[in-house]
Amino acid sequence: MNVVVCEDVTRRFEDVTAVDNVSLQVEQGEIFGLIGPNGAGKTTLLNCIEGLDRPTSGDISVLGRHPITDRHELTLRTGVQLQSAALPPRVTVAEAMRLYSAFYADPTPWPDLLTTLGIAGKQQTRVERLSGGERQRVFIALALLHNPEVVFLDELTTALDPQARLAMWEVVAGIRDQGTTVVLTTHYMEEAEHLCDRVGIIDHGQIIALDTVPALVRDHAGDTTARLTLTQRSPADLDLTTIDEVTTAQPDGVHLTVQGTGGFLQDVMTELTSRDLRVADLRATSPSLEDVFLNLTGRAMRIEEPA
Amino acid sequence: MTGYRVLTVTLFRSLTREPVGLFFSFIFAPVLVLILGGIFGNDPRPEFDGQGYIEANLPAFTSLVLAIIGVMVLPVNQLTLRESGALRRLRLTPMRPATFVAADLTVNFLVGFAGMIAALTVGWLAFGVTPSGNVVMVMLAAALGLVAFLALGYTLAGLYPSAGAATGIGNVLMILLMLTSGAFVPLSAMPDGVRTATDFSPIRQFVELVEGLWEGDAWSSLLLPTGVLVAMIIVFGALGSRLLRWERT
Repeated sequence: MNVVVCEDVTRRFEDVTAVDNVSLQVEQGEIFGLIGPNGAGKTTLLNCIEGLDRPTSGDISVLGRHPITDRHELTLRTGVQLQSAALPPRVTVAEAMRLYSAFYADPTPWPDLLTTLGIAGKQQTRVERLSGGERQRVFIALALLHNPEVVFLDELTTALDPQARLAMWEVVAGIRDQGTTVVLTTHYMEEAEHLCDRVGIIDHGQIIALDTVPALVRDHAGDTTARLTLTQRSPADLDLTTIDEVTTAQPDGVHLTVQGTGGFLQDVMTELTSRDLRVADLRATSPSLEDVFLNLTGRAMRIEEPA
Repeated sequence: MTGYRVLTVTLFRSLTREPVGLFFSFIFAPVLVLILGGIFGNDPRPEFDGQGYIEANLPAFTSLVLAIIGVMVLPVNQLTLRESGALRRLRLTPMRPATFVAADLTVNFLVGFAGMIAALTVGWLAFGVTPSGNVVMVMLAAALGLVAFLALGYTLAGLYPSAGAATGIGNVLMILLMLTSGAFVPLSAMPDGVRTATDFSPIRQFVELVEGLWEGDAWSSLLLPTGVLVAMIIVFGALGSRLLRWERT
């Protein structure tokens, strides 16, 4: 069963269409990423899925339920970490955990959860005095207290330093490994590449591509570049472009730069071996999700747009 | 029920850990009794019909607490929770909205009621002022007034555009309420026109009620001020629940 289904979802504000005719499905047990630049419509779409906002048109179902009319049931079955979440000021981590535990009939013991998330030592610290990464962990703990079937994580790692971000990826992968479906938004392509089983790329409110990362890269990002160094100069009659999947091949003394797709590298190696040419060094650079976005939109992802 | 209890405790801690807020809701009124009592003394004065300053005005000091909590503390705290996203996060739990309102009102009521008791107790201990009427009636009236101004606070929280505006507008409203309460400027010293105008101030009506009961008047002789406070509870209660917002706009 699909955990989240969006059909032709549009959310229009006065003169802006923030989400434009989006259809997607999130499958059970996967980490699904909505990626795109700031202001692309990720959070607006997520708000509609969470029942915090109502689409102008289109249908959304979460666990087979309606996000707004079945809100109460969904609060028991979904966990939410918001981009701009907060707690009553001046409360400690333990007080926040006790408060949110009190809303559920059978919550996970929160001290165990804090241990899993690596913030067990922060129980008596006020939430506003924690570091950015620690605070995000508190909000993840609040989202997981009631063992939800799906969690929504909005820009989870935006305010974090690279080290805290890596640690957070482990946390999220751990949530998925426990069987919980994860839907997250991010504008970090590396994050989507490392973490997401499938990603939907969203730009100007529209899903412009949706697939696994390798499939997106294969379909939209073009060739892998391999730089080979041979033990001797390459012979003048060596023509690697006769290999099916090779697009370009440029010899340069002992160096060879070959671009291609699919299994071209293996065919190149076979060809070199058959001619008794030995490879001293090989570096392959794969295209990334960054290149996918560039090819699809003509813009670099990193240029941040105003919201 | 557990949700209500734990939320009340949490909101209470959140409120009382903030020294400025706590000062205004709980300490300000009793301290003002001490300061003004120290300045004016409590010797009999002709303008208070032969009573001393504190003797004549002590019950009215409780109105300070109402004004501060109703137009400032409650709305500012609620707007802060709304603007920070704390209300939005609470809304994504199974908690019923009524649970939040009940817990929030409980906390503000308890802090306000404690502030009023503290003001009266300081007047009694420092200046020996005690009511001629039944103290239980006085406290009931204080509770009624407090509920009326909490309802006003919920309406204002729905109307104020932001926490910053709430502080600014709230300050102006508070000064207006204090000036028209009759607690600090004796109304007998005011021109007739101004005195008539104060009759329309809800806080003046509260002071009438609580002073009347303090002096030993029967509650049945104080129907107008009682009616004003009950009407405030109904009107502002209905408006406040209609205007309650969880989201930043």
